[in-house]
Amino acid sequence: MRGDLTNPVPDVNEHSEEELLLNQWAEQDYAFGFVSDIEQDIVPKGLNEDVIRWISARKEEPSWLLDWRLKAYRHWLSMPTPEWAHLEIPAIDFQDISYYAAPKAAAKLNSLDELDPEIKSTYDKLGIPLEEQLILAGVAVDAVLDSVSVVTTYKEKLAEKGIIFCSFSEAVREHPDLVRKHLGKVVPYTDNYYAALNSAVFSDGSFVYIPKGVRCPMELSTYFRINAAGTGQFERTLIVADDDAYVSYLEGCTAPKRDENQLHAAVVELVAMNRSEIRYATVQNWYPGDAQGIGGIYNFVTKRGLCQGLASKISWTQVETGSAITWKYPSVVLLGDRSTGEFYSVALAARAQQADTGTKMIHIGKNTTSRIVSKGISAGRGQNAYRGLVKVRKTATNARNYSQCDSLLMGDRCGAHTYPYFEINCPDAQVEHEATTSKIEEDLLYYCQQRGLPTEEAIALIVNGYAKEVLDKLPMEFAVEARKLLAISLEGSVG
Amino acid sequence: MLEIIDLHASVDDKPILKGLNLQIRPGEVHAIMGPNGSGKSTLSHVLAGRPGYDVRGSVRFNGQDLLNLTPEERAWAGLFLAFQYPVEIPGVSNTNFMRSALNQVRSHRGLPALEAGDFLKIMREKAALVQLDPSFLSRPVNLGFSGGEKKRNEIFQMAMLDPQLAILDETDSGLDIDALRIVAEGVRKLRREDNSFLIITHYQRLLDHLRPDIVHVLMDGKIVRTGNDTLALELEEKGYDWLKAELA
Amino acid sequence: MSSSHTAQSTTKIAWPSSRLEAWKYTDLHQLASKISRNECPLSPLGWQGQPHELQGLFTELHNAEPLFPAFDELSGLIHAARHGGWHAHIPAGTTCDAPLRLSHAPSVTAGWSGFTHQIQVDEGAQLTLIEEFDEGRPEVNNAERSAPQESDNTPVEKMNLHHLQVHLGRGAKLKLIRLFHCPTGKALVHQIDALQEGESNLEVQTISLGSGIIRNNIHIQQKGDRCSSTLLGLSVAFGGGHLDQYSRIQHHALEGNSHQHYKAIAAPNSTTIFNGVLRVEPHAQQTNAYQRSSNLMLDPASLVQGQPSKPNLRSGKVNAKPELQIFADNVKCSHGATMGKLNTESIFYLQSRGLSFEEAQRMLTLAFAMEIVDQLEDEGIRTKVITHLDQLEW
Repeated sequence: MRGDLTNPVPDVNEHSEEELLLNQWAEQDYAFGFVSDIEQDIVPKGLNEDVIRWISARKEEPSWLLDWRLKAYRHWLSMPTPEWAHLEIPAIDFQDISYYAAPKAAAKLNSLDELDPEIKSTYDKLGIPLEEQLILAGVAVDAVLDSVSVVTTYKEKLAEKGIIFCSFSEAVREHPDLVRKHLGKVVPYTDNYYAALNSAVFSDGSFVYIPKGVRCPMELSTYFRINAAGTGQFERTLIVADDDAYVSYLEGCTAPKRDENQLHAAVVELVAMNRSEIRYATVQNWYPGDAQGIGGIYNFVTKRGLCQGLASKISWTQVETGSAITWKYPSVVLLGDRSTGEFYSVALAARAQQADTGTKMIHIGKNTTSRIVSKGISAGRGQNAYRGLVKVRKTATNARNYSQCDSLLMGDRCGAHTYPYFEINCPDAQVEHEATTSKIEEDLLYYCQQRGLPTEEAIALIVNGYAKEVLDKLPMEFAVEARKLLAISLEGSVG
Repeated sequence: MLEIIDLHASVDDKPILKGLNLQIRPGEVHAIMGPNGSGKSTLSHVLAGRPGYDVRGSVRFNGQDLLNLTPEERAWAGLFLAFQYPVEIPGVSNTNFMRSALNQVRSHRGLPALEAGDFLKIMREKAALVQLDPSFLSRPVNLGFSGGEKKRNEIFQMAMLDPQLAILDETDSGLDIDALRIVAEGVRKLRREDNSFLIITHYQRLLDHLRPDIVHVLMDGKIVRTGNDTLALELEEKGYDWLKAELA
Repeated sequence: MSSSHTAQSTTKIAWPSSRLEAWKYTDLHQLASKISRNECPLSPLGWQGQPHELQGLFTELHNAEPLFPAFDELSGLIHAARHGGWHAHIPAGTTCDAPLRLSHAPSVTAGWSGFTHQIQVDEGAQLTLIEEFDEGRPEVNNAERSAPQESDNTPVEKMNLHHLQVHLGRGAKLKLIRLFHCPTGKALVHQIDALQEGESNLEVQTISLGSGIIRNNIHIQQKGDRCSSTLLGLSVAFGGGHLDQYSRIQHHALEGNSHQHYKAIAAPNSTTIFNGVLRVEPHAQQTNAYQRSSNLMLDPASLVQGQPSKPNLRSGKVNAKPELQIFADNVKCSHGATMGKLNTESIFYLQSRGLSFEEAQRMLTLAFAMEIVDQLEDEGIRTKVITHLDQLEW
């Protein structure tokens, strides 16, 4: 769509100081762009059935899983590459990607002491506590470096309550029945092009099971890090909350600064049984590429939750500041009567980033409720789109939906777009949607300045205020992180 | 402290201030009165540095050329404007806003940033000064406040930032009698030997409480008369027409 | 007044299909493929008490060139395949005080026919045009009424395609007030392409009623600074009707204004669609644009109450897709959409004042429609719409 626009070269002299400042922030440097020198075990580039067999064998998988992968691969071959309405995506050479990269390390870690110091230092640089003694943080962490999970903390403590929190590979080995029962049920491999690709080549990810009646006592969290060059990351996460269970889960993502584009195509499946609740939060800060649009991660992710049980609840919260291109619609299928779906999103597109993100709320059960709050921020040459679907099936009597989509524009070379779809087939439904697009009001800026705030700080303050409703949904310590990240992405050295 | 010489300001080529002169010394309270459209609010915004005005003339504030400073630099220099229409800032609490602003102002006055405990203590004190309910401190700045609450919040912020020169732009409009008394009381408590006030108003009633040292009448972009507080009473009684007639 | 030049046959025309975003909920390709093209005469212009000075302004149009290149494929297609049309030219400075009225008679034979119309309003000129597209009464068939077909499956035998090109010169004003009525078995497709020069003002008021298929496209390009476009609409779909309202407003210049308010009522078994695209191009600074879509669904369960003889009523469908595409930063753009049934509290309130459940429902449904109807700037059209609504049986 951007192809049909006239984009004249802007005259630099015409730009006010404020605009220059905005651009400067929009092009701020990426703090997590370092590369770690870790010995890697990498499969050669290219994709074919042998590669899939190799991955499956390397992970010592049962034959049913290999069969499933191969089916997904064959289906993927039959699918056309998607052409996306409002994204400019260069053709991806799927044979030029390595589908498996793992740190060459001791086969099995018995304690954190055995972890490669370079890996540990990588996570230290990211500010992620892997040390068990950081118990005060109260967060259990699963760290995924490139294709494999390197360490999961607090496992024993969680096991006391019957909670399973481990890498996906381990779950396949230790809990094959649970994995087999749920894998691909919420996001089948036929779902879309990248979900099919992920199903064929997924390497690792996290697995969570909360047994009946258990309230998970701490935040569960996974940190994803792409380190190796020329690789893609294809993780798969599955979270199952049994009857009356509760879990809050958070993922964070970073990647080194490289001139090449790297592909990240994940699948996340959530299953919520009767009266259970899953809160899933993402702070995504993949390398966004530079101001000219060179490099950066292609973040093509399928995330979907199934409210299978009565009165179950799934809540997505996302803070998306990274990636060159983001294509992501965390969705909720509201199957159980009285179930609830929520989507809270802050998406920032600066530099030359393109973000196309939103949600789908599919109402099937009776008395189901969904709520959507999306806050887009566009700066630099960023293009930010909200795309969402609210569908109310005939069976979904008394469904309720409320959506609020706001867009904030900073600078005259960015774009903000809103594409909500409503398909209502039940007259009982009550659906409400509001969307606004505007820039930061000058009066607001002037008021803050009159009280002594410099322009940069005033903007950071106003933007954080604008995004507050979403940031408030994050667990406390991550809300602070997200605020900083937002400020850094916008202001650079300030904040 | 403040010296304005031959100040002109226009918006979209429409002249509003047409050669205004004014001098304020430390410790003085000045009032500017004038009919609608005489340029009162323009004067306050030109002094605070709001964008959108074409300005000529000279304004010196403690020896500094005020017109060359950005709005925040003017705030750091000790100038405060209580807005006639305070702006609402969604999602930003009064507390957070004041902490950021106060620390900025302090750092430019060579003072260290306040510890959280000290800050909260000061904030509660100043809130009590204008009888601002402490629950307002955790609410977003001015959002959903009534007209009177917004004005009180302006005076509260003024108390927090401790300016050398405070401009009150029609702070009395929209206030009921009790609120007016509270605001006036707050301002009176903040008066010192070394700070000054410029009160822009339409009516006498705020001046009843504040007793200005000097009263100016602004008409058609110029100060046309200066006197003591009996001038304000005269205007209240007779309106502006007699003055217009006299000048004509 | 007939035109007989031949055009391409339907089979060769690439009608837009639902794979295109703009046609997601109405597949014209599928619809057109079911009907054969017919050499159909241009429906006679209904001159009704025409102000004398205007008659000369309208001429029949046979092979005239388009006023400007087609905005999209459909207008190009209709133009290429047209049977005829009319052309109006309002010279600079002319103000037509009395509105001009046109009524298009129903298509009589099976098949489809296409017409291209043009209005050129020169600098500073003003015109109000009132158009009626009435495809006639539905054949009263009680069996069918009690169990209407799902809109997607209704066989369609007749389709009328109209394309109207509008060019507004600097400071020109045009007001279009249109009533579309389409019964079961027929389809009406209308497209406006409007090009606005600086400071021009376009108002389009559209009422669509029917148990047939109506697709209304309004495509506006604001080329000059300080243009204003105001769109108002009401769609009432009943008895298996499928009413699709599509608008696309593109702001290219400074300080443009656009305001849209569409309401729709979907009775059981019927579908309404609102698809509105608002696009602000780079440099179209200080655009002020607003778009609102309010949709009411009539609940078959409550309609059946007290009328046990009407089984087989399935719920209607509402699809809405309000889009904002913003490429300039100093703008104020917003949209809102609501979908729901009548407020049960309100029904109860009316019942507590002595109205029956059915009366209360009818009164509130009409009240929902009247917010738009009251704004229609023509008494005649307003009366007709109210009569239609009064006689409606869901």
